[in-house]
Amino acid sequence: MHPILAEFLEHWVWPTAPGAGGAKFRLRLTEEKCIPGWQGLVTSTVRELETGQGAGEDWKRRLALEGYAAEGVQFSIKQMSAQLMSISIEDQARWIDVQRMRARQVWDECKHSKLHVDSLSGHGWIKHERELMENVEANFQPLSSYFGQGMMFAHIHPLARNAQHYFIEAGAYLTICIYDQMVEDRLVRHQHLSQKAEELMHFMEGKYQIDTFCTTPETQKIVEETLDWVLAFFQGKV
Amino acid sequence: MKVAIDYARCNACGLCREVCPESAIHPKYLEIRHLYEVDPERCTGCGDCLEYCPAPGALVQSG
Repeated sequence: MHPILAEFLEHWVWPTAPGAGGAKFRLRLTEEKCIPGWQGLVTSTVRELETGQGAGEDWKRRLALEGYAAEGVQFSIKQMSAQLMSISIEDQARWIDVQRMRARQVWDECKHSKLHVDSLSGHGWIKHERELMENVEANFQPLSSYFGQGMMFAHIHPLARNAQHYFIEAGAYLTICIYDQMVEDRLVRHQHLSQKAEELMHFMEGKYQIDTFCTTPETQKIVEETLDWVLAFFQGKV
Repeated sequence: MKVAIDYARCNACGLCREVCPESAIHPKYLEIRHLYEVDPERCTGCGDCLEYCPAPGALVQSG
């Protein structure tokens, strides 16, 4: 097992709050399904970086463009749309928290966008962010989004997304840890800086919600089915 | 003529970065706080940032 994954498991996965009713279920999912997935991700990221870094600078440009497409400002609109699907039109107008959440989401995505722009402009590949509006590479992404409709397809139940919180966000955190360890370019490291804490926070939210709320066969079924769907997606089976 | 940032007055709004036509203003790399800095090699001294800066005295022209 890669040391970064081993450390992650030791520090963040195995510790469990006393009395957490869903912990046993979470730990079974972790051992049976998550760890093999995380191991595969870690191995492929290390391999990609070993190969990519030896092949010049272009991988950094593509990484930033893909990042911008995945987290660009335009992406926040998609995320907000998915978030708001479960809230009635009447309630959307009624609750200031919902409006605040939308504003926060825009800010969050803008911040991510800027970090990718920092890398692109810092390396001299673009002069200004406006250029990205006309670059298809910076505006197309096939990924399942964080709160996105793809990930919510399997279940609309609020607990279902914890499969994604727990599995996907841990993967993102691990990937960033590997970049931190293997990449020396300060612009690429900067690009990932704020993400690291954010992904870990998302993972911990999933862990907390599974441990706390997934305590019955019904709620556990929802999370496990969604996790199976996520894993099948990444294996190219759906 | 170049532009510099007075951190005692800057409120880190980032507007200067948005309007700079040369992308000469960016956050300090590997610094999690939003402290912006001017890349003197890219700054042409056009002054667009000075025009938009909402914090009086935060952006100053330097030699």
